[in-house]
Amino acid sequence: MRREGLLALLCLSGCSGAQTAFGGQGAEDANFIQLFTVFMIVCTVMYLLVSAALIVAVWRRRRTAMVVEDCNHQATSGVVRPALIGWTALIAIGLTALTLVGFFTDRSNARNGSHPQLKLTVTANQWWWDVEYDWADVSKSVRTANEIHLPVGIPVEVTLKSNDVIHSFWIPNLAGKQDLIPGRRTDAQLLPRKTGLYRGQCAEFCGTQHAQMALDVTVESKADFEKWYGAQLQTAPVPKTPLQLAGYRYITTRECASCHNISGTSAGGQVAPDLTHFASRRSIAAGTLPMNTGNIYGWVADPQSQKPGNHMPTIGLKADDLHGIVAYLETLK
Amino acid sequence: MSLRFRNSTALLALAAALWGCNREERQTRGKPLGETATAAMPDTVYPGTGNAPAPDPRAAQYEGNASAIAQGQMLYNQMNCVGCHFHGGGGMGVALMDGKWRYGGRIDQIVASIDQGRPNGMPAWRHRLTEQQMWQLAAYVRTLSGQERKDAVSARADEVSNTPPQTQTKREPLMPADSDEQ
Amino acid sequence: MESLQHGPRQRRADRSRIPPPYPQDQGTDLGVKSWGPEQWKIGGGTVWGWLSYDPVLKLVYYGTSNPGPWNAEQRPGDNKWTAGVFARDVSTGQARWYYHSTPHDLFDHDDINETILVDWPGPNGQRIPAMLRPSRNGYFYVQDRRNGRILSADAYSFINAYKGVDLKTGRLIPAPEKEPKEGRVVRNICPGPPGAKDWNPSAFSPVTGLIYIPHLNICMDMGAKNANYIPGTPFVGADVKMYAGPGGNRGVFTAWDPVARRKVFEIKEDLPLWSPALATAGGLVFYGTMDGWFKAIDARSGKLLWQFKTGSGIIGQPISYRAPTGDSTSPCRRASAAGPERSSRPISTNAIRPPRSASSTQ
Repeated sequence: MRREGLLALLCLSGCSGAQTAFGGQGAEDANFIQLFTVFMIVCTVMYLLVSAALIVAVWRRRRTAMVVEDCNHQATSGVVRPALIGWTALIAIGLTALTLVGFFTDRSNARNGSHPQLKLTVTANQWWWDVEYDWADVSKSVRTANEIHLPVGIPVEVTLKSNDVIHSFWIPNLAGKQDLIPGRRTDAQLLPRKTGLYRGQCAEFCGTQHAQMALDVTVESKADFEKWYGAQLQTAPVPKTPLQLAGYRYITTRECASCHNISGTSAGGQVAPDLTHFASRRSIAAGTLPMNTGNIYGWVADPQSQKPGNHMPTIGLKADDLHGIVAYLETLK
Repeated sequence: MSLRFRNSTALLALAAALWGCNREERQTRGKPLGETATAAMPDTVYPGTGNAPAPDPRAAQYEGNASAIAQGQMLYNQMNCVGCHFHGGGGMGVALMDGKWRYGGRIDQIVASIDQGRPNGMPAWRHRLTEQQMWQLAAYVRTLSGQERKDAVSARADEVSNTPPQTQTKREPLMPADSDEQ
Repeated sequence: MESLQHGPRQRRADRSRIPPPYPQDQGTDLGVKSWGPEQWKIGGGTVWGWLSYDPVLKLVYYGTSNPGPWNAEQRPGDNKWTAGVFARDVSTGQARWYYHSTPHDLFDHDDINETILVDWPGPNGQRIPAMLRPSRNGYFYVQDRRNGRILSADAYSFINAYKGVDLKTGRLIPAPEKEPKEGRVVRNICPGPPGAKDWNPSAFSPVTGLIYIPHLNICMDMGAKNANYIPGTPFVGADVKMYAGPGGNRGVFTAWDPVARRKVFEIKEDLPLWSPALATAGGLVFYGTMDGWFKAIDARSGKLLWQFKTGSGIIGQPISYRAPTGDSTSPCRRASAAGPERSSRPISTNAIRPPRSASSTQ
């Protein structure tokens, strides 16, 4: 009851359920919440005791204005010595409790991360996430951008790299933060325990658009994950209508192909998010805009107005080209 | 002068100084290509000295602009310029750090070379890069010869480092005989 | 008879299974499975080197080049069928066997170098049809040319990028500390990208039983980075700084005894050697340097007997032919430089004379 009350108080801070460190949907986050609760209880008790002692001392001092101090402090009162011993013991017990709880939490996290069954490599760029699933059969690996799908209950190891500056990988509902540092490999372990849609966020200032560098995380059942993965392995569908064909032609022969990759087409750029399954994502441009037709129009027509300073240029597309491009992009499910 | 007046004057002066302290103008959007994409690229190669056409007004906006140079540095690696021109020394492609420019070494002439392509292997990047990206690339290429201002050039190279960063190298004087620049 | 060096089997003109001697080459559609999805389509692996032909076995042998991009992190998997050697039936084009010299190549170590076909002395005195290959990755391979089985693989140059070749599995053993990683610079990798020996062919002398290898002593620092694929532009993803290897000389001319598996003599050259070698029955070996010296050395001792300064660096193949005058000496002719032949005059026959002790086989 006390725990729920504390949590309720803390949740008043306004974090939504999809991006909160108090969600507990991942093993590491659940451990964190437990640790946090124990610390809160121990420290609150200590705080209240200290405050009480302070109040009592001040109150008693008020009542007896002129007190002659005995030079022999030790023998002044029969209460002080046992009180001090008791206080020291309380502190020792409290610290020991905190240390032990910390130890058990670390051990639990290490155990959860020791035998990963799924491996990802996440490469951070300014200001998007390049996500690759490393499969033992390399021809079945999947590359996507700005989203992660995970099967529930399966321990995951994520290798973290950066192509430019220091970023930080943080999915608060699942685990703590881990930096992505250019020139180094770091790693994070995830063990999602509850299905749901969560939001990750870059947690290290990385430039103008650091605030719009989010990650859509979907934790789903194993069957749903396999279905999603199988769909991701497909190459892009062939355009059917004339408008889609016009868009396909523009994308593969003009500016888009210099940076973006669409598997199964001649657009093979590696320096921008992979678009092969663009329309199946929940958001555009790493959480900047929700995925819908109007937003796709707005993004493709003028990305600089939505995310100024990001590396996708505003081309100044003609209206017909824009219609075709959006029509084709919407087929990339 | 009373202390109060002196202090408030000092404060006002400080505020004014800070307010005017824009490092440079940064345009994120650039001027988008309109319907007439070819309008920006006149042929500026001409015989003899003098008679140089007036420089494109965008030259002042991109030349020596730190953010354009930084973007250009990123694009230089991403668009594989480095595969032929290496980091200015040349290889399959010509050297970009010397004073020899067969098709002109002014920033707008470099943009024209990127846009139109050149014989012996330089691809034409028109419709593959936006104008703004070509100007950013050209601004970066202009720094490869070490002539650019130290507060504009990039302090960090993204590649294997053989040389000190440009912010710490001495600027070599341009020998008139070596340079084809007009 | 067009075949790609990777991709599905149908495109590789294979109707029967290749009987591979090693487990790493067994399986179907390995040209697709050993790459990430769709990557085999942009994976490189051309054939730009030498072919050899065995008229008895009716097999043509050639090597394939490195996979693309140089940045190996972008192409996980073994990347078949790059950087290996094929033996194909000359009439049908079907592959008889394939050996993968450098799986998942990390350093642009092509395998297009020449294959020299020899009769090899087997352990029981029999003659094994074999092939000798001084490879880019620094190993001198002796292989049974009927099935590709490795008889020996020894380093003929300084190598720290690999630990050796496992003769049981046939697999090259990489040194993990030299593996390039994106965003980092790995220093002092030997041999560098041109390999321990580049395309310039070595020469085998049946008289001395030695193989004369003009090659390189170049190491590198390599910084790998994400390569962007834009058709018509280089697809590399690596910044490479090359320099001389241990000893400070960039070129070296080695005489290698393939049976004893050791170096007999070597000549250090300041500049890298990109000239092929020519061995004559008269006991001479010819090669050229990058600064234009055309040299003749004694085939057994390596002593420099004669040299001539030509107009430019030498990368052309020296050839020897019999002059129409009926003179018992053979003039030696070389094309110098990295361009059209500069000088077409044969060298004066007085300048080169085989030592009297050698048998005349002209």
